[in-house]
Amino acid sequence: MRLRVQKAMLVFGKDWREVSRNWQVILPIVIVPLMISVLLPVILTVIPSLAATPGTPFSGFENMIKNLPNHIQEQLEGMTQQQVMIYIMALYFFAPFFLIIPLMASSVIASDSFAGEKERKTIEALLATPISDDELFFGKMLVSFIPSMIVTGISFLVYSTVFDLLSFNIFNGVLLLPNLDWILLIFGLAPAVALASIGLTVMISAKVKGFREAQQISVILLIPILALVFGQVTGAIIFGPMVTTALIGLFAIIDIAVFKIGVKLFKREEILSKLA
Amino acid sequence: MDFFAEAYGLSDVQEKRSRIRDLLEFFELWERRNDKVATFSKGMKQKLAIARALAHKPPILFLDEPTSGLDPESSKGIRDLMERLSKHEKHTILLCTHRLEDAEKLCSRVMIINRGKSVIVGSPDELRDSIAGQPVLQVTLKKLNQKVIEAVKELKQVKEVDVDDSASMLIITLDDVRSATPEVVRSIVYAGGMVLSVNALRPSLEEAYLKLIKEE
Repeated sequence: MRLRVQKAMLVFGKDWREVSRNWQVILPIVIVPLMISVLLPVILTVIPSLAATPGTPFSGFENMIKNLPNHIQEQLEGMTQQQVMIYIMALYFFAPFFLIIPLMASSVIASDSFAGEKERKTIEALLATPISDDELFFGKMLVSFIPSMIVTGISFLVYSTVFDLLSFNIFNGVLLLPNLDWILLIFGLAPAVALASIGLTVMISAKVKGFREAQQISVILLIPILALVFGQVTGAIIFGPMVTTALIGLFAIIDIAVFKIGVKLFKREEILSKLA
Repeated sequence: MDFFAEAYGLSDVQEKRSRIRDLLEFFELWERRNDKVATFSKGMKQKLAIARALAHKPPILFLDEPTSGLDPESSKGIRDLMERLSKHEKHTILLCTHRLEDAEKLCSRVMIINRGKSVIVGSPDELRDSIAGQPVLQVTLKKLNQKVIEAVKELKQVKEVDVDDSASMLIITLDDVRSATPEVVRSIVYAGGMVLSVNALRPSLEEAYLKLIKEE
């Protein structure tokens, strides 16, 4: 049977109405991205730059700079120490954090997707509706995916503004963001990574009894993303256009596989029999 | 309600709204339409669940233990609703219940299932008659005496007479209660008995069920 997007959107609408009224869910979705996109850059970059003490934070990134590919190192030639720090921070250091934002933002809602319905004893009626397994699963994924992407987009906008305000003075009118690397990262890789993580979390949520259990297990999904973060920080992986495009392709395949497996493992009868 | 109506295919906005309003009014929940379901009592939640199931006008309404876990007042509320739905709204309801008094009061046809198999099907009256036999006649007198008892025992339609001295009551088993009752009452009166009440007693569906299960 074909997936009816309208039915999936119906599930999205129902859940979104509940989620948007729950401040316990909304607050972490808003606060974590704000911390990553505004607070961290301001503390680590902007304040030292404005205080004209660029040496202190800069020294910690010498390793990262040493490991950068030659073509990036060439771009740094002729820059002052302060410019190098801002350039590296703005374009490379914080990039992988934007893969964590959609994951953090979506984890609460995705963990709640089916486990929350079980706890609130509303799942029986939901499973009785003539909405197919894939529509239900897709709808539940959308409830986590859409807000997390909106939050990521806004975070990117804020982040770009913060760094552009800074770079406008320091780089004599040059705006550092957005560039191709970041556009690919925010609008390609971040959604692809988020979809895989959300799919797995929704799958876990359908299997476990409660929200907390689902969330605890889903934290494990952050580990591969943290590996990318450390890879970038140490200079081992740099999110250039080639690497990012390859990762988008890889995660697109993973997304399809996760969705198909998730729908296959989603057994209504099993869920209902466990409720009894 | 909105979600479930649409999930079941009610996509026309006007039709959906009017159906939801009708249902919520019928179930006396319209005034609480903007309240969170979490603040509802168990009985109200159960009413809402039934209203939700009716959103798309199903040909048959399946209700699984609808009064389970409810207090007596809420239970009665749900039973009254089922009765109204069946008699006035002409809904066919398939009710699954362990409460035989509910089945007795509400159902026109009852199926008793034992260990997954259908044991007997019929109206509550048919079930009681076929399982527990014909009804018995209960006669309460102002004062019970031997002359009255003997007079009753002598009647040819009477199969058995049980005497309850403390309640001044006779429990009389007859071939056919309906046709024999006037004759029994007349013989009691002729023998000097003063009749306070006469009832044709049927075993409850629960008693019939217990008997059936014992036989099985």
